[in-house]
Amino acid sequence: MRRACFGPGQQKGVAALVRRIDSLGVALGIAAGALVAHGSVAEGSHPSVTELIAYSFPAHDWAPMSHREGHNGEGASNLPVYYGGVAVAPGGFDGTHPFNQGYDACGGSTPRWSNMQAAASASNSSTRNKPELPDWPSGLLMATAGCGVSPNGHTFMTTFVSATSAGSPGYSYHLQASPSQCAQLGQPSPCGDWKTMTEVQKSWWDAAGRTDFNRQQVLMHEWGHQWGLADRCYSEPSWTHNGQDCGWPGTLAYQPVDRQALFEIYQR
Amino acid sequence: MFGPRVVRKLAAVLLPSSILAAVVFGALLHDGARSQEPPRAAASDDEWINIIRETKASIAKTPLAPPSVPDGGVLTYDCADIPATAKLTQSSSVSSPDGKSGRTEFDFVDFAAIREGKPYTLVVPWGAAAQTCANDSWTRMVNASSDLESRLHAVQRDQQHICDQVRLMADGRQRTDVSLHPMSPRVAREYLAAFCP
Repeated sequence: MRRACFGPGQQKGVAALVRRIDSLGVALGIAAGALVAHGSVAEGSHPSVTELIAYSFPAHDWAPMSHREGHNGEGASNLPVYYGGVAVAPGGFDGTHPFNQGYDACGGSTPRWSNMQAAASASNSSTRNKPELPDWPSGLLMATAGCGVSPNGHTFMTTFVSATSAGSPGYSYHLQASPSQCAQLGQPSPCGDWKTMTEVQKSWWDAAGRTDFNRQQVLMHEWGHQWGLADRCYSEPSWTHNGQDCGWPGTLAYQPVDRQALFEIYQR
Repeated sequence: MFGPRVVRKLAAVLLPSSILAAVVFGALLHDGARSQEPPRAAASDDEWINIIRETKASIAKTPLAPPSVPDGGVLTYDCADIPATAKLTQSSSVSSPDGKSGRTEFDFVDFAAIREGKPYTLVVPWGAAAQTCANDSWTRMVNASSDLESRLHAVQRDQQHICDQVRLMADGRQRTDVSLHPMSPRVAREYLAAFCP
């Protein structure tokens, strides 16, 4: 049985596992007419439940397009696709946007577009047909809508800024869909995020010696936030690592613990 | 240990209660299963119109839900509670159903103990007085979120954008923003009447 570090921050993951184990325990209890101790079930008869994982919605009680809001990873309305958001309007955000003014993700002196395409491809290939996502064989599909999409749309967006809101190379934020926005999607409220935004600091991106691998690492991490993953350090590789206090994986692929987190968010 | 009479008496007491418990438990299970079933997107125009009408009716009486306490972490309204070793990792914003108020929740993780990173969520209602935090980047974020006007403008711009797109569809034309869901003219007119005065 593999073990990850069990910090206080993973207690939601613990709770999720206990619930899963509870369900098994109740079923066994009914069938056998006996009480089943959680511990004995966890250790004895359910060894496939291995990891504790972290994701964002415990703190907010909602998540971007999560199962809780009715998104199961399938279907035209449920598919958590990458809505366009590789770019903002050609002129960037207007100056009244509450966050930083953004820049066209298709242009620039460095290949923003190709790196995002590469990161999107890695996101899909490392989540497609994986055992941790049994009912989601397509994996993370990130359908780009090209450059110049509206920042006011239903977006999963990446933008390049002079300074991120947190002063770090990357930063992500979410805006929950309002009831009227859910209604536009044909769904009752709550229905997840209306938009999620990743900011990438241009000076970091363009710095001398910065490699495309570094750039794609930032995208994998920040997009993980957009999908609902939190920041946590594990003893095994994960894109929830913050890249500073705990390093990122050496391969551009979502790791087993990341996929388990996605399962918790979208499919459990 | 027990004679037949004791067993029969026990059975007479326990069996009905067991059956009752099973029935109640079964009902709970059924309800539980039902509540777990995810809501689906509208499958027809009629269903979509019902969702629009029900949403419109519910907005006035639905308050903004309180923030939830992060499991194993700290929920606070005061950035003085956030340790200096914590880092801002992401934020989330939610407006009230009527769009007149809202809040931003800032997620921090205290990486002082790397493998035991304690999560903190700082809640800042839109329009709240600016807070002084121990870290410049937090201060910038928290102050920005306190700007009720800019947040409300952002929410209003998003809704205005939706209304502009829905008007196209009400006229039988194609939307230009593919991130919005396509509507029939009938559904679009219903949406305009409900949310685009």
